[in-house]
Amino acid sequence: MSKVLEVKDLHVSFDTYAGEVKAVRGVSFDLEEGEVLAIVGESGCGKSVSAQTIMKLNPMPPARIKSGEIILNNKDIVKATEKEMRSIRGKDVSMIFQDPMTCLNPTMPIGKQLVEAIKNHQKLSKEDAKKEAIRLLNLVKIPNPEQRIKQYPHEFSGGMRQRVMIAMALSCAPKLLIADEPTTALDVTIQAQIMELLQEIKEKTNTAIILITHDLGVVASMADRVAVMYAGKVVETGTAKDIFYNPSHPYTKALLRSLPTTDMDRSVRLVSIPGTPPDLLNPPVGCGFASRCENCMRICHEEQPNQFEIGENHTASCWLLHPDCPGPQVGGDK
Amino acid sequence: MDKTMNEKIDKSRFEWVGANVNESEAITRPTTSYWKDAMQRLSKNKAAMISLWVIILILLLAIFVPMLSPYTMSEQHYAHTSQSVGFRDPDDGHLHLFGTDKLGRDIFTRIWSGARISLIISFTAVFVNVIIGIIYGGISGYLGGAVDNIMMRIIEIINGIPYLIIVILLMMVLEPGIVTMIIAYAAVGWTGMARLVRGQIMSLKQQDFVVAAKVMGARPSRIIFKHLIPNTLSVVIVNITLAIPGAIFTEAFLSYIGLGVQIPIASWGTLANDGSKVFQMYPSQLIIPAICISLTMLSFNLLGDGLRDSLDPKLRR
Amino acid sequence: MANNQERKKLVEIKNVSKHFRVSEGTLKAVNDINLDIYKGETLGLVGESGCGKSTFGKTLIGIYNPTKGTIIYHTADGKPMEINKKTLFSYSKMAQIIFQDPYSSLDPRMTVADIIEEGMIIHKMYDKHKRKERVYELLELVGLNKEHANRFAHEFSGGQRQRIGIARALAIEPEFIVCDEPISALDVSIQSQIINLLHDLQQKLGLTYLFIAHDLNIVKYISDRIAVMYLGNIVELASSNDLYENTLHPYSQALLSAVPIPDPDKEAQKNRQILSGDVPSPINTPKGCPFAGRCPYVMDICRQEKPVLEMKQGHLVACHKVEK
Repeated sequence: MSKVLEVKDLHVSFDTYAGEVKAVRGVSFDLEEGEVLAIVGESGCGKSVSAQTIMKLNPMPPARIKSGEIILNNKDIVKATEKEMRSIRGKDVSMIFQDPMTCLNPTMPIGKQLVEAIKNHQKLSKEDAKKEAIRLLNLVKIPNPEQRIKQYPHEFSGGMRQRVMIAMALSCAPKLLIADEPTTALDVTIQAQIMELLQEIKEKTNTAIILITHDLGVVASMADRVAVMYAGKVVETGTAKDIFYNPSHPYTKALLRSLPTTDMDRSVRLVSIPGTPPDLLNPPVGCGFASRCENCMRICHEEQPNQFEIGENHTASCWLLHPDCPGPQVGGDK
Repeated sequence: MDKTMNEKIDKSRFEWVGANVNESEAITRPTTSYWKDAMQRLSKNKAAMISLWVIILILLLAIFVPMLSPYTMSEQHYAHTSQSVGFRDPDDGHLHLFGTDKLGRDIFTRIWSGARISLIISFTAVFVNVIIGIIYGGISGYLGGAVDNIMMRIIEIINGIPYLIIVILLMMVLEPGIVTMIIAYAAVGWTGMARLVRGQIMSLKQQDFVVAAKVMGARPSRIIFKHLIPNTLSVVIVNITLAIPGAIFTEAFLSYIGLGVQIPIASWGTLANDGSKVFQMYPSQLIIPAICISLTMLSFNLLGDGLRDSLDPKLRR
Repeated sequence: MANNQERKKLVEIKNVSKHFRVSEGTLKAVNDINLDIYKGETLGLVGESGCGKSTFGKTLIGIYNPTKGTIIYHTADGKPMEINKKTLFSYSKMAQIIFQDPYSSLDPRMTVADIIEEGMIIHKMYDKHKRKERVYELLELVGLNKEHANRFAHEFSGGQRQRIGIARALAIEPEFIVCDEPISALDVSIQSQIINLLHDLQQKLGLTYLFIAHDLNIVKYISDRIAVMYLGNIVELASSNDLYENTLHPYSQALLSAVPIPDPDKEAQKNRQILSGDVPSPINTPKGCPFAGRCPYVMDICRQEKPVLEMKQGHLVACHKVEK
């Protein structure tokens, strides 16, 4: 199993009129063929920016890759020119977004858009490209594809549009598919359909998937491995079971505790995380979660924690895991 | 994956501190109202700021030059007609910065007296249009339905009438001059602002905060004056700034063709007209008013563009 | 939770429908709803897009006038009041709403103090000085502080804005609050803050909530009873526990099984029912059961006759297949 993607110590900032917003402050993760990595976090944590940077989709300026490496299929993305990126996008890596309506051209029938995507990277005749388009629509389970390729995006429902977008993303069999909140805007029953579809496709084509989401249910359902992000950094990584059954970073624990389970009722208070995430215009010197963490220690405000190993491929960035730490105080593990 | 060696750390650094929520709930940036924030953004726009200063300069010159100049705008010196730029009058030692015209009048003084007329007419005309437009558009947008339908059709009819015809017709009825021009402009010029205000109000009406006020029991007057109109102001201001160049040009044009300001009052348009008659021999007499008109129009346009960007809430941060 | 004898009806909804005329026909957003809301309870309302739950909430609060049917509100002095144009102003003091989008529900030109105070000014409550004090009290009640009063809405985060919205709704001391997806636009860790706040306020002030949401886990947590809506109709109405332990309606079953649980082992074992097809359009709906087009157990009668919401196996359900 080879590595499809390696991201090492990525730093991305935005130059705004108010100053430099350090959106991504040292993120590392990697991905094997056919693996699903879920990047979980709340708005502003940097997950979308990290993913878009892999495809260099952020306009630069105002975005800026300050440092770090992104190796995709042995190609260095950070150093790649725009021309090189154009041949990489769609072929090596492809993306599906939260709102399919903003990614599909409302004035073109979807068949034409699919053919365009196909012909961008493959030398096929118009007829062959059309056949390929129909095959892709079948792959994503759109009924009557021969008729539907003539239709416009607004004639499809939300779930159908998402399938069309998946078809476009898969048109050149990329090794990596980035799904940025693909089901957030969809109803729960449609979300279930799309999640099932993504699983099937992954099994058929062995595509690696980066799934960006804030919904831990979706993560539990689909992810092999999970990276939890907070305030521009990855605070914990591990397999799905590691994260759900042995969460080690206080933020991960708090996040899991704040979800009501179906056997809870109102006599048990929901554990919430007081406060709000830090402003990345002036990120804190120490750990980003310090001011909201009940286990916060002096060192947490002074210095950013290193990554500590908890198990095989399970790491977390928290001073509580340092060998010299006397253990969590006041509050501890509830 | 990089992993730094875990160096030994002194136990005292692991002293428990706990969460400090107030620190995280606190708002670190100083309070900015919508306008302050907009002004900050505007100040970063070089073209808009330069234009703002140019406009301020023009206004100051228009106010003070006729007051402080040694010449009046109608004073004629037959000895020194059509002198070029920078001519020093040997009789009284004063400098004619822009030269003199064919009747020996100081062009510098005339330009800035003319500026007063052009600017007053433009500002007044736009102001009248804005008032009518806001009221008309506000009512149409707020009431919606059949009333809105009828009011919009009336606008379409008015839009079909050329401004020039109205001016000519009015001039047959009234005395040609400043007031006539303003009336003619007001008669047809308000439609743009009305449409704009109507559109804004229709989209604002659907916003949750307006619905919230309704659910709270607010009467229509409160909704219109406390919620709808203040949120329309930014659009109105941008539109005013962009409408002024149109008014300046219209006044200049009408005066140029003789349908506007009449002798003895001078405006930039009449000065351009005077200058065009002697253009081949004394080009500066046309070029100077032309530059004034163009520069003022350009400045208002750039300022208006800058204002539109800085007042647009979607472009914030 | 009070038992049935002690429960007082607060709102009676009788045969309420809300239809809109659109270019393609009639959009039947809400169809013939009969429902009682009891004082002090939290009634959860769930369903997917197009089911009409938001329209129903807005009709209940007076934003829309019902096309058919009546809404009766039982005031504190015991008099039942029919909601219509004449009574709308008095009703507004008793029933308020919290909106979904914290970014468009606060006037960008007003300070926080003005926003919260507005209701009190409209209903002529207290004098200027007392109103200001009350603004501070309300800010503290929702977990903000005095310093925030002179700031503008755009300076706050989504969760904080939602708190301001709650403070605004509470300012005029209502008894009944329609919560229209109040946490959908917020981050997960903030959602629990707001849920706790709403729960605390209910205990403190004796409020009654209609809680409209699409996140089933949260709805189950906070509600006493849950109504499931599909295409403008209530298809099942039960206490939270009953709905989960004995899910009767096929749509409810599909809905509950579609919700992913944050537990990898449970998810792997789950026998998920995937509904085919799309959420249908509420324009020109066919006769018969609204769910007939997608129901895995559909029978002939389902396409002919619309099932009535009636008591079967302990709670209310509208389905021909379910036996008593």
